[in-house]
Amino acid sequence: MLTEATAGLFWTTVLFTAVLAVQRAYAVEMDDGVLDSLRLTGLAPSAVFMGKVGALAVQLAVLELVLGAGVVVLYDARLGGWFLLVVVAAATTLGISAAGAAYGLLAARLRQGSALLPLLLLPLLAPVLIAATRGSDVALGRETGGGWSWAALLGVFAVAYLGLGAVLYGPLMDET
Amino acid sequence: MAVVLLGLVISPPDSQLGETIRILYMHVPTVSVAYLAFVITAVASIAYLWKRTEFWDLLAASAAEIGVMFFALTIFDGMMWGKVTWGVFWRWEPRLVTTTVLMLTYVGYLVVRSIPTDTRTRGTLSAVIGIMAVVNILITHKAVDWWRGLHQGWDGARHGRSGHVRFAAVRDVSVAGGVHGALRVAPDTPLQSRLAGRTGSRRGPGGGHRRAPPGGRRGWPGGNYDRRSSDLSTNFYIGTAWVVTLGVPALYASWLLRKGRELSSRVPEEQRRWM
Repeated sequence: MLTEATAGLFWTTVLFTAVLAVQRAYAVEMDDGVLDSLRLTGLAPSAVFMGKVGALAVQLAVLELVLGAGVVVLYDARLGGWFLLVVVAAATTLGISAAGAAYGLLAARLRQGSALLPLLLLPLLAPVLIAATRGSDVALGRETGGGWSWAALLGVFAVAYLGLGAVLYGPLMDET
Repeated sequence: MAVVLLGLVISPPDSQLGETIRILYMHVPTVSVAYLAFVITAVASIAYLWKRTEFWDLLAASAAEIGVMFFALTIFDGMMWGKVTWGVFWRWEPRLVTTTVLMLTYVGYLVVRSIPTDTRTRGTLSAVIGIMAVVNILITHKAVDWWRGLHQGWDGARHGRSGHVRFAAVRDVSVAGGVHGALRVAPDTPLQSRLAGRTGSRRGPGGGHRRAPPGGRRGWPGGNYDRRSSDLSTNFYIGTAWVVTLGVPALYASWLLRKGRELSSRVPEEQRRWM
């Protein structure tokens, strides 16, 4: 039973961890006024956004590597479609990081932000979770066909959230 | 009244879906209105971030509120149909899950708007959500094709009923758009929204609830419904779907009207300019 749900458990863990990582990232910055300092440097908001996405993506990638090793050992996962798995993981990580970076700042602007972030972020990322799970299932040989369609869908998500986040980060940063 | 007569009495049962087609006369227009409302939210949110005028912020919020209400009604109608057709109110299948998730996204939008903060911050934060969330509409709509769940797809055009189906689609969206647009530009509604921080419709989308084209959809996943049956429980679920779908928007509209009158009476005429 657990073996069949490997991909789902893996991505659910990543998603929940991402919520915590996003919350922590902005809690530290808002307390110390880092965001205001960044605005004063004259950096483009989209550049700040990309930096935040990069930082979150690296954290999630490290987590995925550790979790992935655990999955291989404990769940007897066969990495036959490793290239598809890498593409799915990369696209999912970028999508989650981009949406997380944008919504993290949004939630940080609100007094009840830490409580609101999961409510806002998890429904937004639910389709990403489903697509990542299905794509990973194909890569792990638990499902046949259509793996690259899921990877493409995740790519669309990643590009959409990266693009929208880069554009919308400016107005979010301007709010004090 | 004409809509009720057409939908419940005059129109014949569908050749495949039987009497349950009458629930779909409610189900499809409500989801059309909801999708339209969410797209309006996204467009108005973009316009707000660009123009920074309160009109666009209020338009986005009004559309989101209406969209959530009609999405909830869509899910309710779907549950009534599911009870008759599948034997259960709810199945954890892709379309139902993605629809619920999309509704939760916009519930989050309304929650953010309800948090006390200054108008500009509230407008900006909710605009960002309104724009980001619109990406999921496509996912919800395509869930049937991608995940092949129990929910039947939009396959009328593939089975020789394209004329009727397209006519119904254009009609539903036109009526929904017309009603929605009329509500938004009606002189009293923005005043209500300016004062109360929210807006909504004064009437439900009754015009959109009309007879769907005759003929069912092939390839629907069956279940335990006998299409020739018209028993008491089937009629109960059909009736419940119609009463709730028409009743909730009517109650919502009357609440808005009452609140609008109450607020209008407190504001001098010269302060009612809002655009």
